Amino acid sequence: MRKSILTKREKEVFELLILNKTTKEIASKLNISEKTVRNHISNAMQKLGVKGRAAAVVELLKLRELSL
Amino acid sequence: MFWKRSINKIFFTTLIVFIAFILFSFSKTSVDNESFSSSSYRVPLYTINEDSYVSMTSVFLDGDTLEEKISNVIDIMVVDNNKNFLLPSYFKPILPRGTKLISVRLKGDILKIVFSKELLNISSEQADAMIESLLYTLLGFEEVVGVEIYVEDSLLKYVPNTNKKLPTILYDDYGINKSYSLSSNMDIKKINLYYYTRNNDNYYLIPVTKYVNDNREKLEIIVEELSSFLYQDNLISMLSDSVELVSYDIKDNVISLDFTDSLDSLYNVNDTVIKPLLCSLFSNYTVDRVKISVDGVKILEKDKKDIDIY
Repeated sequence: MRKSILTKREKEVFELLILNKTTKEIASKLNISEKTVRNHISNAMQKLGVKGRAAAVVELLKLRELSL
Repeated sequence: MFWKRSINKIFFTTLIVFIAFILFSFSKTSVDNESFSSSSYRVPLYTINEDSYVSMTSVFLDGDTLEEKISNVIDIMVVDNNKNFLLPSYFKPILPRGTKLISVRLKGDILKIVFSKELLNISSEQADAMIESLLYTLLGFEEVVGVEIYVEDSLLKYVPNTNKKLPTILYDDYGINKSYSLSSNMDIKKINLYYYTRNNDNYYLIPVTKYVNDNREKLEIIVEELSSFLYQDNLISMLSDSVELVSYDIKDNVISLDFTDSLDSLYNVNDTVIKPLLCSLFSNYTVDRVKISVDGVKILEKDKKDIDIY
């Protein structure tokens, strides 16, 4: 069975990102710091080989790691 | 002696009549079977065109049961199958050579379809198109709302030869000819749009699922996309860019759109011009009817059931 590209937490962060949540709102919802939220986003972008949140979202939509 | 001969004559005459009756009945039944056994019916079919878009067409096939109908349409979609000639010349079959349909079973409104392993012999570049063609062809049967794809005994969990996940059950929100125009993670909308494309004098519809950043109502985005997109990548919209949406209403299963039109292009609009707009609206909204007016004057009213998208 193939592993998901994102960790569970990274996926949770992006699922909230595409719902227009700010970093602050995501941190509050997941009970983590804003710095940790930004780290999760950076890690995901690195794994996906993209620059920018929008590009990360596109890749995740294509991979069906995220859906609308 | 006389009686014996008479009886023999009667017997043989009766036997001959009886045999003739049997033969006549049998042949009549055969004729009846040939006339009424399977009726030809129209089946929607999605496959790739010359530009590698997953495109819509329809074919006439025989088949009494859902299984037979699906088996027949799958045959047409397999490369180098002797039924490929049923496709228009500008369409190509997409399922890999040698793919066999092993079984089809409907559980409620979910279709479980099992293929041979040859289904996996698809390039990563074409695999998305293959899944979309297969899915939307099967969803064209009104009994089918969702599809589970199996290869031999295994559920297909990824688009073949890619790391793109597949849901366990695929529904019509899967998307087709997907396009991503995203510059941020905010206000992401998924819109289904229909364009025309052209092969000589043949115009046919191409569905496109587009992801955009836009906080407006979907129908506003649809109108803008279709009235500003004149000719790109061989996708054509015939809605004039003189058309501007003034107001809209979505109520009681009806979408009402009021336009202003500086060129009066909508007044003489025909079904061909308006079809992509109608198909796009019906694909994004659960409504039964669309009403179109220009400067408050109604020019068109169309029910979803009267739209032939193929």
